[in-house]
Amino acid sequence: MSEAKAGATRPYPLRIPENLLELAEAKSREERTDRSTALRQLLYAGAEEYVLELLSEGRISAGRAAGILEVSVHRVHRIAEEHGVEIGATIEEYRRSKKDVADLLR
Amino acid sequence: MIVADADGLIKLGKSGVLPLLLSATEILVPAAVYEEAVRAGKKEMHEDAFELERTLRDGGAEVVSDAEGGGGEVEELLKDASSLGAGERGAFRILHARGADAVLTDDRAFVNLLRRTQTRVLLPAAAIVLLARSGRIAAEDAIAALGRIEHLVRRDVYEEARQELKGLIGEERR
Repeated sequence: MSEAKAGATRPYPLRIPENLLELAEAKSREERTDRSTALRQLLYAGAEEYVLELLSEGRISAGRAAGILEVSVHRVHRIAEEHGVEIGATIEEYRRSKKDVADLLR
Repeated sequence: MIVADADGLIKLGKSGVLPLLLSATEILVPAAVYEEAVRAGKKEMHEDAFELERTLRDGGAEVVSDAEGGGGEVEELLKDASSLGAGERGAFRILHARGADAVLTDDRAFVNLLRRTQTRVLLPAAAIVLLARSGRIAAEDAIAALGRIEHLVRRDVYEEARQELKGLIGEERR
């Protein structure tokens, strides 16, 4: 995964299932926006879920997650909380941390 | 001397014990980390980011330029670390440039890289427990601090740290 320029977009040919297009149509009517915007919002919601999964599994960092979603790390923490996704180091790392750095905080 | 990333700073800042850590040891904040934890947070109007700015300033944390660090072996290790953001990368460079003792972070992906390079890691929950063990904070206050980041750490980490702090309350009373 390379670093994309913030806010950059590019056209991409994509066949979209009819039912998703209908969903985007309904969303656009309800929110008084256009269908493309509604589709992008749905795509972003899916991306958010996936990024949280990667973050929780330790496959990407919080800083990287913030970069992908174009939000702050504060916001990443809040999104994780809203979705009930556990983030942070594991219990094994916690135990090791206490042992490893005890001398620094005597 | 401890280098911090945004994740570690935000969590420890939210817990309220960051000033205690700042008084116990020197904290280095890479410029990219400061950008993520303070400036980006302020842009989104997160109150924690404003508080963090005050705490770091009042506690004398050193914000280190991104121009410092990097090169050779460090860049070689970072080349394969596409899972990290600018802040963690900055923290890794400063860690090696300054020969810091440990990194303050709670980021699982970053911890993985740090372990591969035999770097010591200070997790926020561990910091709270160690500060209580050293007597810098009363165990009851430490439990309250831990509670403020309950939703930001793993459940089992929270429970184990809480149990240990409860044990310390008993020792303090004896």
